[in-house]
Amino acid sequence: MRIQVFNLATRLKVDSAPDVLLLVSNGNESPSLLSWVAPVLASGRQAIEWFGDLSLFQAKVIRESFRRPFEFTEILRQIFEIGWRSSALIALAGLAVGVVLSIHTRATLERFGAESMIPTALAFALVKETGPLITGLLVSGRVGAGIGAELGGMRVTEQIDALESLAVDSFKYLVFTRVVACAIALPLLTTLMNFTGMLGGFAAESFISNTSFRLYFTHSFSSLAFSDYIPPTLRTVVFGLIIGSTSAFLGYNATGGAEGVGRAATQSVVLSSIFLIVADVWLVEFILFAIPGSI
Amino acid sequence: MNEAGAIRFEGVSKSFGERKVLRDISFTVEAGTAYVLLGRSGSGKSVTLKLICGLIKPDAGKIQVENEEITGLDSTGMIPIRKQMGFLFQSSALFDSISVGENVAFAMRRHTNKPDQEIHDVAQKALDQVGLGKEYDSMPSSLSGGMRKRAGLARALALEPSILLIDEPSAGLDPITSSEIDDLLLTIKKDRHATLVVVTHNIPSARAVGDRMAFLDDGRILAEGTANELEHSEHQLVREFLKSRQGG
Repeated sequence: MRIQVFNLATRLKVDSAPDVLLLVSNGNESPSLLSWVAPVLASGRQAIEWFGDLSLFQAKVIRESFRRPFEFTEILRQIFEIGWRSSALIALAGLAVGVVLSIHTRATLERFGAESMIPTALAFALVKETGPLITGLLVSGRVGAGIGAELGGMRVTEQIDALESLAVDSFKYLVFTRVVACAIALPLLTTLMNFTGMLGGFAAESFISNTSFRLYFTHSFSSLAFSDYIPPTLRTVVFGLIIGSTSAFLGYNATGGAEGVGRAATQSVVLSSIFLIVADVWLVEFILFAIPGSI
Repeated sequence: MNEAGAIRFEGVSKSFGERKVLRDISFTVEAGTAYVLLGRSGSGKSVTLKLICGLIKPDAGKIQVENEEITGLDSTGMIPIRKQMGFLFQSSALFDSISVGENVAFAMRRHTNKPDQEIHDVAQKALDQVGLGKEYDSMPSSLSGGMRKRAGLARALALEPSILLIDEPSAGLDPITSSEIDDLLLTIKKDRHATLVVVTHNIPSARAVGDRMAFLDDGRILAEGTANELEHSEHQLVREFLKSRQGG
């Protein structure tokens, strides 16, 4: 048991998450100090425990990928649910992003007389960062909430217990399949986003400058190599793992009836989006380090 | 079957946080018999069923199912044992994304190599047995509470289990259907030599189905025996419970 002593007079720091915290007072401190120290430490401890549980949950997903049954049929069904059913949203968002990016890029490049660079600049912006990140955020909104709510609903209505009682490993059947499906669907959806983004860019450009389809796409791909496309797109595999595992963790462990299901759905979106953005920054740094010149 | 019985609890305790749900309970259910758990709401009856199925683990004590100690088994280790069990949940717990028929067929599709048509026929037969023959393609959300209960029972019976765990089989059912369900449980016990553990508040139903009964109160077994023995229990609460619910 970790026992920490915190002197309220000297306000010496304590390590996070002790088992027992002894507050030593000389009677002259502000009473408000006592009221916030303990809750802050308790929250810190809860947060560390939560991250520990999430990490164990993710480790279990990885461990399950080496154990039978591999649930291929259910994974394919989930890819359809997660991937195919998100494709309209991604395609539409891609078109809009392409149009907007094209308009902004033109406004900037016109000042330097570099309008011919618009297709290339747009392609780079989409493939390297905008496409993967926006796809990740959109999927975390649509799919993350869906997984959180679906598994949360199954938990509070005892459907997960029922699955176990029918001799089915509920973690493998419900969690593993969804996480794998997210990891497979994300790169495919990102590619769709990139493509429709370029189509949107072309639509905007052809409206303004009458550029031909062939000329636009020749310019778009002239400077773009596979080494520009592969690392950022593969990055979205990690986004898929984050979205799938975070939302499945929250749903699978939901408690508290309908309110708990709602909380799981909301937290799935919020936390997977935050983790995704943090992971994006870290992965860009990592890819830059691992494959110099690719970003 | 064996001397230890189909199900054996030895000094089992279970708490949820500060709340002690079961305190050092021990009992044995002989193979091929029906054991009824009685008691007030919150006395630990449903938790006992979930412990038998390994859905929750005891804090202390041992649980044996068909001579195998299940206390230390994880979800994967429990799979062969659960294949011999059927569980009707208090809330029915039907999978709401698939039809009633597919709910019943689910375990057969997972654990048998039977052709599709045969699985369909077996599921249809199970639904016929509980009076839901016309509801194969209905979604669970379109059924009433009582119908969902019966569909849950059909699902529990689909793999022809040797142990049936039944939580409140007659809750939400009219007296006639409730009596039909009792008859069905008796038939299963007799024909398949199945072991039944039934949680119920319906005393006529408990009398009809149960060979032995246990009365749980505050996490302890207050009385155990046949219906007659419980009626003459030294505990006033047990006597009153059986008397007050005589009418069902």
